[in-house]
Amino acid sequence: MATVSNLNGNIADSGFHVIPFASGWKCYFRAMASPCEILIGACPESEAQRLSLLAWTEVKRIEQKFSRYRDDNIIFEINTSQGKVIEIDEETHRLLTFSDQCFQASEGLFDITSGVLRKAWAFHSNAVIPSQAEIEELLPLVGWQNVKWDANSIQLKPMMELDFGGIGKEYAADRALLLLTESHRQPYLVNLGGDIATNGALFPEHEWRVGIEAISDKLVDNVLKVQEGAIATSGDSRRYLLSNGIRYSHILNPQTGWPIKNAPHSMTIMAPSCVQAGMLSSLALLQGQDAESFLDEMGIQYWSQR
Amino acid sequence: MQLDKKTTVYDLIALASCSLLGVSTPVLAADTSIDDWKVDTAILYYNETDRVSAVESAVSISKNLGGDKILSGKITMDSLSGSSHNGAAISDYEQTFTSPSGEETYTIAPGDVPLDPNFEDDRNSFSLQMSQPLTRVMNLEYGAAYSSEYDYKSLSVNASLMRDFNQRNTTLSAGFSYAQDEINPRDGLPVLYSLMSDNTKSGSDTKNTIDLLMGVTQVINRNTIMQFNYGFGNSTGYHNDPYKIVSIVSDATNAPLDYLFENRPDSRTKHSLYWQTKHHFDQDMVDFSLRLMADDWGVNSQTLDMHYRWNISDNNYLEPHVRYYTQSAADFYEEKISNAGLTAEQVATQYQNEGRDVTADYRLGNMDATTIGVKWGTRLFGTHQLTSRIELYQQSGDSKVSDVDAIIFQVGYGLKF
Repeated sequence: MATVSNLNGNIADSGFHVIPFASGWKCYFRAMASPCEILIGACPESEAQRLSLLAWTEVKRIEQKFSRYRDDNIIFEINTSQGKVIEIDEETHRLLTFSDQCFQASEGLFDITSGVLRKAWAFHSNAVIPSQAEIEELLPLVGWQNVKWDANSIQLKPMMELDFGGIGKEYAADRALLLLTESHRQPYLVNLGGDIATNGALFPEHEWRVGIEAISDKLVDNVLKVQEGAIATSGDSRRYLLSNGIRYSHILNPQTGWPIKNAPHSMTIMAPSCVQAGMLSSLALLQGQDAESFLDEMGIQYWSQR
Repeated sequence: MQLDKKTTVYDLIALASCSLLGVSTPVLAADTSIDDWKVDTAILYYNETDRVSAVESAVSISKNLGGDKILSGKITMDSLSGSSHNGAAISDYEQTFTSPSGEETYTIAPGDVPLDPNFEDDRNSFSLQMSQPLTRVMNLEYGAAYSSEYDYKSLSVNASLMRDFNQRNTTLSAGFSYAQDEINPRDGLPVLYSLMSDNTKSGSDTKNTIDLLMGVTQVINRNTIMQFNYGFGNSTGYHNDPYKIVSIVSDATNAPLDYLFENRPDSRTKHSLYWQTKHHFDQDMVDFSLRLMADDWGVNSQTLDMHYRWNISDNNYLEPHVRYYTQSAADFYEEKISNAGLTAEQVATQYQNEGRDVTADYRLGNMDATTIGVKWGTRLFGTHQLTSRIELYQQSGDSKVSDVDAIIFQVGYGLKF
């Protein structure tokens, strides 16, 4: 009973509700610090409720398991392990493997141990730029290559930290879509705060229309049309530090400890899966000035805002 | 070199994403993929107690030609055999009839329904239908059909246009069909107002039918959809059943004197109204329809039909079905003709002089019919559908002649690929 009331309490807290939408249903809730919505094709209301709950449960499960803002999950255990070996489950291992592959592919630019740099960098209005000494003090704690891990365990050096923040939301969107589609094969669109995964149009001529918010008055909103696949956006449009007229992006270079210079403020990419779209947009931003040419050379369609 | 390196990055990320999600392709497509081919097969067995039994097998194939153009074809083969009411009334006397060929005779015992035991027919029919969108909200359907029995051939063409309005919540449709039939029994058609004992037959005849239909389909709310149709039909030409006779009975003794071949009007105009409502519950669906028909022969009929689709699980459903049908007799329906003191020949001459129509076919008499049944459907291998249906049909009317009990059993198998 405790579990049920706990679950219901969470649903209420997250603003979970299902309403009619177009020819189907829309489920709305908050999770991962973002507004989330699940669009479901035509089906009976009870089925829409069941499917919505399935998606909500999966998103909340991933949030609870991998958020670095909690003190009751595997991430907290790893980040407070002080050099001890920590046992991990299969899903954590899969996320580590993915992070490792992205680390290798980006030649070390994407690094899930770089979150510790936030101890020096704070991205709010009255934050100050850290000194080089402060950054250098933290740099030895950054470096995925120093992490010992295998299928069953992980060992970080003392004071090192892991952060799945760069992939958690995209992973949750793909997972929710996967579970929904397996449960009832019909069209869905999962939108977790702008990270979007969809498995097909509502009917042959239909296209999902996804708006890209303009980040400044100089730019205009754009509408993407997608039949299936995923869309992810990375950027610093909401998190940056302005100091002496210089805009410091929250996207940090793990090798220097300093923000990436001249990166687009927002990068939106379409790809077959949300984790793939999210990783490509993150890697593009890490290229700074060369973000667009990085994507151009791969022949990827993108919407970049500078 | 640079390009190769970037391509590798893309491939590495794609591969890593797939293994993270545990899938071979990242997008698990919804079930909206267009299946190019659809094949449905069905075999139906119909058996009337002591009367006709029929086996019908049908195969229909449809192919999506792309762009929502769908071409479909259907082949149906019917085989009927058994005993069929010849039109004569039940008598207290033994009755002897000549078979339509005039070569054989059969005798019916007193009190029994006069059934011709030699009824046998095979029918083959073919149809082709094309459906194609004209615009985003307009669809055109057209097709042709041909059917053939040894004494009857029919060729028809049809077309209909559907247009969506009101964000696809309303659909208006208009359609027509035109059919040309040829009736050509081996020994010819009975000469009008001839008696069975005359056995004078010659020639063949035709019938032309035009049907017009106008309809509106309206989405009432998320769970309910309604359809209203008005149909108009007009046929001209030969409407008789060349094998049906009417008893001429003596007033004095009640004995059958002879049998007059039936004679129906040479045109018929029908009007029909149809209302259907489908309502989805959370899981199940109810489908209710009412049809009212009236024609200038004086036949008025009402049909009530209800299906309830009970979805037991994702792959199984049960669908109980109830149908009730009632009709009033045609103005020229007579169970039998009283001789009023005349001879059979004189009666025939009198009918001919007056140009009077007459039939004793129970299908044009007063009649009620009830059908109850259940259908079971199950999904196999994801896209295959197996259905079986059993129905009981019970009909009654003016006399024992109209009493028909039948059982219907159908098995169907459909697949898409």
